[in-house]
Amino acid sequence: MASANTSKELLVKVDHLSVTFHTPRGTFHAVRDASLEVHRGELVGVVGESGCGKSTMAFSIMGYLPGTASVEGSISFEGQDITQMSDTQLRKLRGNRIAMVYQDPATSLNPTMKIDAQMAEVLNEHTDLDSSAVRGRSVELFESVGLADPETIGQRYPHQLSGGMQQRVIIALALACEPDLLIMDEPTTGLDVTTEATILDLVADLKDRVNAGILYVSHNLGVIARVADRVVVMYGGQTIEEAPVGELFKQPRHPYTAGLLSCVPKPPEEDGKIVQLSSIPGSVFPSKSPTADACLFADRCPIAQETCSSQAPLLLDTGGGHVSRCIFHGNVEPGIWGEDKLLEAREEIAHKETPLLAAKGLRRFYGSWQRKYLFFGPKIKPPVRAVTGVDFEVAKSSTLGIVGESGSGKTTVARSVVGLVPRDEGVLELSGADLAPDVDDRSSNQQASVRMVFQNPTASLNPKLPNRHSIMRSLQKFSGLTPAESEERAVQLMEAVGLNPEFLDKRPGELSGGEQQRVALAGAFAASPDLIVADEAVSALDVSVQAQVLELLKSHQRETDASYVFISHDLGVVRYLSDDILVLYAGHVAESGPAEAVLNAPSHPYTEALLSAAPVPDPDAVPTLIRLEGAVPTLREEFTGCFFAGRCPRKLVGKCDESPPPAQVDAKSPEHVVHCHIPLDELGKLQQAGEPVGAALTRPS
Amino acid sequence: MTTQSSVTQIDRGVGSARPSVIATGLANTKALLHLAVRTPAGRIGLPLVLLHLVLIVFGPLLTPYSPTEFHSIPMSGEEAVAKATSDVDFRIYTESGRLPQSTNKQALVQFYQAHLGAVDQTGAYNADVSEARLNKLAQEWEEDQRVYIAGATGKLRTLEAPSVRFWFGTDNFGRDILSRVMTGATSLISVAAAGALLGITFGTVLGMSSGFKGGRTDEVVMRVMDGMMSFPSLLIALLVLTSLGPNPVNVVGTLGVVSVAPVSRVMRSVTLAVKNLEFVESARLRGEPTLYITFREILPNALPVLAVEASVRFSYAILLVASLGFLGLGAQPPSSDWGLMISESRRFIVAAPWVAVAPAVAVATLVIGVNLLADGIRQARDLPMGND
Repeated sequence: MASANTSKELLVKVDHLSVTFHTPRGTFHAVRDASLEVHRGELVGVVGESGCGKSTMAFSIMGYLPGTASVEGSISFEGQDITQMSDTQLRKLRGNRIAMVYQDPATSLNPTMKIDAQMAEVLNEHTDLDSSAVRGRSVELFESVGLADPETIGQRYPHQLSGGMQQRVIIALALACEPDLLIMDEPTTGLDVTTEATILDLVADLKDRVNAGILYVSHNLGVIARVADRVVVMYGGQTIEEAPVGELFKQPRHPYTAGLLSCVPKPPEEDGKIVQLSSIPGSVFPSKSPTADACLFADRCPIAQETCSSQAPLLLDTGGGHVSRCIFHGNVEPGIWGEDKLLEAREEIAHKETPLLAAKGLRRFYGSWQRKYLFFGPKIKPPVRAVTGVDFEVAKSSTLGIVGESGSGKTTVARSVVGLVPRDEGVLELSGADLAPDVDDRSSNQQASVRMVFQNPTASLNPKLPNRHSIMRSLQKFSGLTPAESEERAVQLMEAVGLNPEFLDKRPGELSGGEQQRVALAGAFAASPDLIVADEAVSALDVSVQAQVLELLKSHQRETDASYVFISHDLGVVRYLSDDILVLYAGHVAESGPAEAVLNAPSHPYTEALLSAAPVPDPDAVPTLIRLEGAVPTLREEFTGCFFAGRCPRKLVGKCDESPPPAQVDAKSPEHVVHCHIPLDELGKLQQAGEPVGAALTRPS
Repeated sequence: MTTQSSVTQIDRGVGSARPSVIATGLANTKALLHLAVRTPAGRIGLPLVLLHLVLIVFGPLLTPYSPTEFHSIPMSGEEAVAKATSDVDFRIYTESGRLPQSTNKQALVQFYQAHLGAVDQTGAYNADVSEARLNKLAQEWEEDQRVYIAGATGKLRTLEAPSVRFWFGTDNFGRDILSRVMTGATSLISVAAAGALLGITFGTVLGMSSGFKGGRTDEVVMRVMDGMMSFPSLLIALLVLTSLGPNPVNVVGTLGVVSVAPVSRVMRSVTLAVKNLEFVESARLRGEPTLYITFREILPNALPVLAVEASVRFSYAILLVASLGFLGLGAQPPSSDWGLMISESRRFIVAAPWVAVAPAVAVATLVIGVNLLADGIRQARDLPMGND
């Protein structure tokens, strides 16, 4: 493969790799034909959706595959072929010359060993340092990954560290023996977006500092745009495109890459208009199917022609270090997935009439007062305040997006609205009628009007019952149709969500994640609800599937005037879908109002931090460095001062600790409320000058 | 894929005939068994279990001989008398196997002569010697002297080693052990199965309801179960059966009682694991009643676990019933209950080990078969679920 960095030393060369798993369940072609190179000093990003084989390829470079795997092709690391090596030889390489960082930091560290001990394990295995030298090197490494207190952190156990700190420790472990190759498999996927931003900063920094090649696997195009020098795109177990990062994002030469890029929500144009997401129809080429003698993407491709289905394409060099597996790569232009349509501008929602859902002063506590002597004695610790005094309104046929990180209380709010978690205080009204705290106490009409869609599509459906179950139950209970009519309606619903009605009789296990989520949506739509609460409903889905589901939600809203409460940590998705946005922090409302008003200056400092932390799929975007350290606190005691005072980068010494922030109304947009001590015009000026609120917010001209 | 079922439906909704819990459960169990056969444990376990199932259903029909028939070598009446008078060890029994009172050799000869007339021309014994008459005769003689009265047509084939004629040999009454083992399956297994089923049903209902409810109710119920489990099951059985009498109904009831606690614990833990999943929350949001959620949504997911637990309970039940039979608190003679057979064979286990071995092997193969099958089902459940 042609590479722009031929001057740098070649570390890994994967050549026509193919990995097949032979299991009792069947034969899986995880990797069919993958080729890539990693040179010293560069970061190669590997992008693909689930099932494309990127993680398998990463593991096979380590030589770490189960016994059921058969490998063809070659992986040469510094000249030696990994596929031919024995276990002993591999063990000498792993941790020493090739190191890996995994997705979930909590399970990657041994919970019963102190951090020091785990670091010493690595150093003692591969180096000859004595114990004091080991300790010295540990402190050095902890410092280099940006951990506070590098001297004392070694004495802690993994569970005493936050997710971000754990991941830094893992990176330190990986760097311990100065490896030549660092493989990172989705290291930030399990972290909050602000923590993710700090880790990505670290990775970008490492690139310059450490004399190694880095292979970074991710499904998130924004992350790849941020850190990668070159990008490899994988589909159906094949590497289908490889290019320097700027070129890949601006001028993709494979229809799939172009499709992926148009599926990701992007920041709006300068005039505030948002580009409509297109989607890739069909589903990923299944890994159970044998490698066809054709292009694996042909049946979903908008520019496919006869030859695409009859001939397996090879990787073609298109010049400038850009490689593509598309015979017609010259035809890949911006319009192939549909003309760039702009979304209609959102109508100003008339907030004067009775809102569909009104919440005032919601409060929810978890646990109870901790007493000094277990059950007796004076109270010493109050219960956890998950949600404190949250107010919001949702108008008919509109979407309220709720944004916040883990611990912000958004899930608790969602569940309170729906009635799964009974609120402790506060008022919830649906079209003016009071909603009982517990769902069992609500009237049948109210139960039908408020439905919920969950994050985990597989757990949302009963695995032992056919797919028709949830739809039919909803229809039976709420719609008053005869069985024959219910059957017809079920078919209609399935078609509305874009699924073959035959799937009604199948079981959830036979469907992919995206299809399962759509069945769950059909079940929610079945009762013709007025309000649907979507709790991270698209977070577990692949990018192309996510786009399909978002479009589905939008079209359903257009047709039925339903409202949504859409909860997500992904600001891009929230911006795409929401009319109004509510930003929560530690159970308090930080900011609320129409979507564009909230996301533009002036914003609450927390919103600002979220915006600057969110990775954007544009390699030229300059990341602003508003970084928050630590995690969202768990609040217990009554405290004076602002709930964000602990982490606020714009904190005013004195004022912010003494009194709770006032709710300031934006003069330009009366529905926009910010809870901050800093006067709004000043905040706006600060955010637009000096450090602008996310240069990532608008695309650079 | 939908099965039209007319079995009673638990959901009271406006229903077109949709598969009920039982039909779905059966389909799932069948699928599970198919998978279980693919595992090494299941491959051994299932044939063993099937063998015993065949024995239960067809055993009494397939026996080579009757289980109560005393086999003997034909002998003429004169030969019998001659042998009786000369051979001290020549023993004779009545049809019921009971030995009437005894007397000395002289009286024996007298007795024979009195009866010789009852022997017909072919030398076959005319069963005119009724128990009552023999006992009366016996009573007329002094105590402490033994006489054994001519029975049947000759010498009983007692304690014969396994041969072509009797594959498992004969016992101390000349009965064919193979036939007895084959017929013994029914009483043992049916009692064990009934008791286990009783315990499983109650245990499931109790455990799942308690698990779903949670809170204090759950705690109380579980502590009661803990209390029940702290008593050894055999002890409880002995207590119940000696006070209420050793009949099959009592045995079934006792088995049920001792099986409830472990089953309820297992089902409760499955319920706890499942009840927080999103599809259960979806059901709650639809306003489904608790009973519906527990038995329509959660139970189908608990069936694989239940299948394993049922097999374990069943094998414990078998061992318990066999132990009770051994102790004489279960079936009574002349039943061919395996436990009873083992108990009766204790006296001559050194001289004729096959009498004890055959029923012991039968019990062992059944229990091992059931346990291997349970293992197979457990392994099959952990196999990556195929979509077939």
